[in-house]
Formats: sequence, C-alpha cells, structure tokens
Amino acid sequence: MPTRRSRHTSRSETNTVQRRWITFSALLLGVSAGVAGVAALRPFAPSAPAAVDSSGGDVTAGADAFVTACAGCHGAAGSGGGVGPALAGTGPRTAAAVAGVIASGRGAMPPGLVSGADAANVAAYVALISDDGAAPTTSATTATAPATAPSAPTVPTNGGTATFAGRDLTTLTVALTNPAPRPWTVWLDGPAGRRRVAAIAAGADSVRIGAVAGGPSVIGRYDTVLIGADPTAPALRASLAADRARDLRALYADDPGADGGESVMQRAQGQVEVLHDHVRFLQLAERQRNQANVRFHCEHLVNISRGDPARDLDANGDPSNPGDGVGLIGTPDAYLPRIAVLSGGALDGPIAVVTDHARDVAEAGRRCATTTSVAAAAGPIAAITAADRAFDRAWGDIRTSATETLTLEASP
Amino acid sequence: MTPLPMDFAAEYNALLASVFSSAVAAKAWCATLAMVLALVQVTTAARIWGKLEGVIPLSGAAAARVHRWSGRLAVLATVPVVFHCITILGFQSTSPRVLVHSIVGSFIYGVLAAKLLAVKDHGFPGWLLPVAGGTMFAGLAVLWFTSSYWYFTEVRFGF
Repeated sequence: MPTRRSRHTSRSETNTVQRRWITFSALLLGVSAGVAGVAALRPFAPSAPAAVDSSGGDVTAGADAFVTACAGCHGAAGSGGGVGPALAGTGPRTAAAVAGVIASGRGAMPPGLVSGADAANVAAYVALISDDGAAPTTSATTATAPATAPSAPTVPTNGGTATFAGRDLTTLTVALTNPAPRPWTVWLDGPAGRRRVAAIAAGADSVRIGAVAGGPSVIGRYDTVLIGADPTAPALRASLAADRARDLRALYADDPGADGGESVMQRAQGQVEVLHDHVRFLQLAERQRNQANVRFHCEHLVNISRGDPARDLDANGDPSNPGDGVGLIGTPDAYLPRIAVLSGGALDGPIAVVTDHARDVAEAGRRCATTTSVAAAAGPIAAITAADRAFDRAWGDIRTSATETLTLEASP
Repeated sequence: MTPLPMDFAAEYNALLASVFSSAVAAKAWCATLAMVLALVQVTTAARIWGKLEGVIPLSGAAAARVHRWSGRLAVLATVPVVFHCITILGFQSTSPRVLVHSIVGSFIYGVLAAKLLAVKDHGFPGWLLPVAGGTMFAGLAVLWFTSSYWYFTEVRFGF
C-alpha cells in the first residue's frame, strides 16, 4: 500500500511528465502555426509599382533571361508547375502588357525581377509563348520586336538526337544541332497514341524529360519522336525501325513469348530476386549448421542459374528448381544471352560482367551441393556470397545503363 | 496585412541574385546544402546512438560535435530560404507539388523546435529523439524534392 509521501511523489512526477509533453506539443504546434500564420500574411509580399520599361525586346535573349529569372516559378518555357501561373499558350498578350507586369509585379512576383534590356527581352519572349508560338504581339507606342529577333525562316535546317535512357528507357533527352527558332513542342507517337511530353523554348537547344508518365517503359508505348509547332507537320522527326522497336518492346515492355504481359527484363529481374533469396536461405542454413539444407539450397542456386533440366546435385532423390526453369546463363534462350541479343549490343559490357558472376555462383553452388559437412561448405558459401554481391551491383548497371539514340531529321 | 512601403521583396531578390543567377536558384542551392548537412546529421546521430561504428571513423564525442555543428549550419542554410518562402511567396496551392511543399514547410520549424526541447530535456522517453530527428530529416527530404529537385530537373541545373 503506497504511503501518503509516495503518493504525493508519484502525483508530482505525473504532473512533471504531463507538463513536459504539453510544452513539447505547444512548441511543435505553436511554432508551426506561427510559420503558417506569417506565410498566410506574407508581410513582404511585393506591392510597390515601378517604372515600366517598354522598349523593344529580343525573344532569343528573352528566352535565356526567362530560364534564369522566371522559369523557377512559371516552369520551363512558361509551362507552369511552379508558384507562378503557366504562361505558354494562355492567350495573346502584348509585350507592353507583359513589361508592365514585370515592372510592377503581381501576386508573389516582386516588381522589377528583371529590368532594363532583360525586361524588354523577357516581355517579348512571354508575348511570343503566350500566343503559343505566334509572332510576338507588339505595340507601336510601347514595345516593339527588334529587326534582329530570330524567326523561323532564319534557321532553315535543324536536326539532332533523341536519346531514351534510364531504368527501362523511361527518360528522354532531346539535343538539337541548332537552337529552336521558336517555341517548339516535343511529342511521342506510337501504339499508345500521341502524347505531348515537353516544350523547347525559342533559342533553347535541348530538353530533358525525367520520366514520361503513364507506364514503366516509354519504349513499349511510343516509337516516334515529333518536334515542332504542329504534330501533324513537325519540323523534326525520329523513329525506331520496326524490328528494333519490336526487340526493345520485348525487352522492356511486353515479351510476346511470355504469358502475363511481362517483359524479358521483368522476368529476368524475378529470377535474379529468386537467386538472391536462395543465397540468403543458404546463409541461414549455414548459421543453423543444417548440412542437408546447405546442400539443398546450393542445388537450387545451380538450377536457378542454369535452368532446366533440374539437377539432383545434393543426391536427395528430388531434382528441384525454385526458378522458372529458363535460367540466367548456359543456353542461348537463357535470360542474359537473350537480353544481350534484344539490346542490340548496347548492354554487352555489363552483361559480360553479370554472366561471369552468375557462373561463379553456379560453380561454387555445384561444389557446395556435394560437400559432406557444413564446415567443408564454408569456402564455397563465401565464394557464393561474394559473387552474389558483385552480381547484384552489376545487375543494377544493366537495369540503368541502357540507352537508345535516334537521329532527328527534318520532317518531309 | 498591409505590405511595407519599402519594396523589400525586390531588394531581397536582388540580394540573392547578386550571388546566384536568380533568387530561386539561390534557394535551390541553399536547400541542397541543408539537405547534405541533414544527411550528415542522420549518419552522425546513428553513430552517437552506437550504430554504424564500422562505417563512420569517429569517436562518439567527435560524432556529437560534428552533429551539433552540422545541425547549426543546416538551420543557417535554411534561413534565407524559409525567409523568402514565408514572407514573400507565402502559403500557396497552385499545384500538388507546391501545396505539399507549403504544408510540410509550415511544420518543419515546429518539429525543429520540439526536437531541440527533447535534446535539452532528458526527461523524455529515449525513443523521442530519434523519432523527432527522423521526422525532421523526412520533412527536409520532402521539401528538397518538391523544390530544389524539381528546379534542377524541370527548370535548370546551375548556379
């Protein structure tokens, strides 16, 4: 039974703990509310108007200045996505009107974010992109486009490359041999239809699309890149050859020889994971000093790596293979040789490395499966562990190092 | 609230753009510095708690010093960013990315303040500090991905 003194002490401790948590919560919520409150009030929100600089502007220089000063809020080429609104294709604006907004600020945009010649250049550029690539709208009394402003006829030829890269070819980088003479759009075209994926600002000569939305591999859905102002009459075009498109689709999107719509790479990935799992099972069996299981899992490593027919290496009367029987190495139809063929040689380097490590796993697994004690299996298991780690790193290279470059040419 | 008569926003933007190409670029790089320092924070915190001993060649006391100073510098690196975000841009919801950034950004200093209290007051349970630190790091990561990463990948990678 607690005494009066101990009851008093206990109550005091409870109060202290409660006070501590109340302070903690008050600090967390109070500071957060304070920050949110200041953010809602925006005490230094821009407001003061400034003189309007409405001299003429150069759209190419304006495109450069826009990237530096404006794209952080209005998105690349004014496509939106930031704090500021989208500007591209939002309807015609005069350069003078844009210059006025630049000078006086609007919303979160402070006045005079760009000034002098830069302001006039950006105004001309924004006027251009807001009208979706039409000639810049100007006012005779305020802003005029200079005679030096580039226009489509001054750059008669262009070309470049469109490079798919990244894991399963999900990114796209367009590099032009000459800057875009006006705001251009990049479309992908193919079995999945047509999709607008990026804008190229007038004067810019490259754009990178981090990941094309809508599925795991862009190659499975699109085989043509179109660039220009109108997808039905693009300025530049690049297409995958039909047989190359077929191989890359099988590799990254959908292998017609497999059930369930999986790609060769996805199926191979599954077998790689099965292999890693069984290396872990083997390590567990070694820790548990279970000789039968050591031999059993070593047999599995060989059969997963080399595919069917399954071998009864541990001599337990049951040749078993927890993999899908295709194998990673050993036959032309195994996953690694098939990936090499379908990738057209682009992955030969990392495939050679992975094949060596898979062979090391299988060879050490074969030795380990016939050992007569756990101690005798220690050497092969160490070799398997090391080869599996190296395999994993090199397999990652295969998944991420693929590239496919198409040549962009003037569309007929 | 009535804005100040002085055009503070333009002055502040010009100050940031005097070192970097634009105020947004300056914020992106300051946030990246804070993120790198936050990674130092996490690893040194793990070392202080007896983890990663074979990975980080620092004594517990040295790890604690690095932890304290990387934390101070990380907070310092966020100050120009936070100041611009909350006093000039304010709470925005123009896109899901911006909305997430605004919400998480509102809480990050609150979490920091609460974490500092937990550091100083030894009466809290032992699990609170790693949870608060982990929350702080996760919040910073979200803020970095919804701002600097977006800027570097979608707009421009440069100073």
